[in-house]
Amino acid sequence: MGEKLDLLQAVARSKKTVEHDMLSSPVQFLRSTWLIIRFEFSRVFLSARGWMSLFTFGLIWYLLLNYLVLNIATLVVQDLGWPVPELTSYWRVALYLFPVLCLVITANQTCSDRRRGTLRFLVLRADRDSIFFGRFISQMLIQMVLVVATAATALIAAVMHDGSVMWVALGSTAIIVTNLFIVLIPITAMMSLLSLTVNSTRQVMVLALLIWASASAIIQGISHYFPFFEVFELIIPGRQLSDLSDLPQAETLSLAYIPLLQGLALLLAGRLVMQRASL
Amino acid sequence: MSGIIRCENLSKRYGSNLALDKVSFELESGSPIALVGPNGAGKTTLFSILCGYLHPSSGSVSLFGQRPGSSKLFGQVSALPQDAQLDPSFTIHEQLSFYARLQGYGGKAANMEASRVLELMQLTASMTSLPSSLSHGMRKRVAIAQALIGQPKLVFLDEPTAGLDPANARNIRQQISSLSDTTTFVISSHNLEELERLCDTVLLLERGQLQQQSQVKVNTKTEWDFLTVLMNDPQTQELQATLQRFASVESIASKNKNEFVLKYNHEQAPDLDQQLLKMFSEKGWSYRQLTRGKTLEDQLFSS
Repeated sequence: MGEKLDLLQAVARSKKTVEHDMLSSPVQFLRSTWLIIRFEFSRVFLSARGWMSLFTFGLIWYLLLNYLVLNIATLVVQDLGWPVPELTSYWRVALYLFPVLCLVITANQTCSDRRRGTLRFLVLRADRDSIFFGRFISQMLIQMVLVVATAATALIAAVMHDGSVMWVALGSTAIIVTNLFIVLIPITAMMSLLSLTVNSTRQVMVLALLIWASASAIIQGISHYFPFFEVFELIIPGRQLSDLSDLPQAETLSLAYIPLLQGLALLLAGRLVMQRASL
Repeated sequence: MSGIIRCENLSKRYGSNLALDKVSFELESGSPIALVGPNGAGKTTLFSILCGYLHPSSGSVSLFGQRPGSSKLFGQVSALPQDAQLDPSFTIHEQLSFYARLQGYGGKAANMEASRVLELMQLTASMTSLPSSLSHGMRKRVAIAQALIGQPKLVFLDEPTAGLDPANARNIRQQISSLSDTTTFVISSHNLEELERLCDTVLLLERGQLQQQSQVKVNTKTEWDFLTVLMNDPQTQELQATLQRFASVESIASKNKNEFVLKYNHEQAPDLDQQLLKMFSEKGWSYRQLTRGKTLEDQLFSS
């Protein structure tokens, strides 16, 4: 009788605990996630090493803008509903540049911290969801800073060339930035997931390239014999890039559902791996 | 006194290797608790499960009634994980301040808390250093400092003094002693003398199993029938012969040439320790230590 009473009391206690957890966790999750995002931002924008990387990126982008983007812009005919040549050129370059850059700059989301044991200090104070999503969001935001900064240079170049296109160019820039943001979601999410499974940045990048290349080859090979299998190409992050580059500006967001669904699936998979991971 | 750690049939398997085998125990808050055992016994695995780094293969575990890793434990439970390193990109003060913020401290308070725990570990002068510029011992002390952020109720320390110089090891023992009124420490170490000084309760793990005799209180009444004598000079035969003459002495075990464990009838001769001191004085024998009970090493490993 006494044991039964103890059991009932324990169940009541655990129920109370769960209810309390449900109330307190969202606030704690948001606070921890925000702090992790800020910390990751400071790693890039407030540290000497971060500034060195940004300076290097700025230098490379200056060369790309001068010798690639603006040169292509002089050759671009105002087609496909892209009204500003500089931004048309920027769109074509950025659409492939940033996914590749994403492989490099988002590879080390958790792998080094896991190998070093730093994650063990973090999980004593922040739940695994905060760490996983905090790192993912911070990588997305850091990339958006780079996207916005580079798009701004193309916008300035366009306006300096022809001041009358300013408002049209601003609209184009907004659409390009939105598209690039959406394009980068599944690739960054894939890197979040892969970063949980191997121990070094290099391994994450190699694995990403291997998965990308082998998945494309396998699906194309099988769909050669079974054409309906082509639909599985949609699971490969970045698969829609070639289609996207051919679309007129106004229709670019029509393919947004592909990276958004890919991103959602990869983030859910990453969350599952993070929850089960041994740290 | 209240149960703060509860494990029931806890098992952890790595492939075919069973690292923990149905470990069950319950620990109460209070004096530091020692976790001992040979290499590969499962101590770090047990610590990792208690800290929420690993998930058990089977069984249940709770800290303060919560599962390890629960957000309800943030700020209440902390740890010095074995071999974990800080982020090399930030100074140690920046990182500890960040951890304090995650535990709920505001900006200024977090900075102050980081400074406080670094001061406890005598690292004030190195606050703005990057982890890579610190020695192994200093990095270890920083890792202990992070475990003390926010004055947690329960702290797991995995080999806290391994690799430290004697002075810093002593400082850490002192900090553990002074904080043990408010914090329960669970300490894993191979240094049994250190554990003997700090801990009241000992858990012995061997081959993933918690041994039956392992949960012992050091210096309790059950130990009163033993005296451990450490002499300055070896006088094995003469000393043993002299000790045998005491009627209350039942047996003498020689640990080495100048250390003996006496088993005697405490009720018959409650003042045997004083008799021994008097005898040493009369014979001019120099002793180094006379301890009531057996050493922790003898309690755990002598048959």
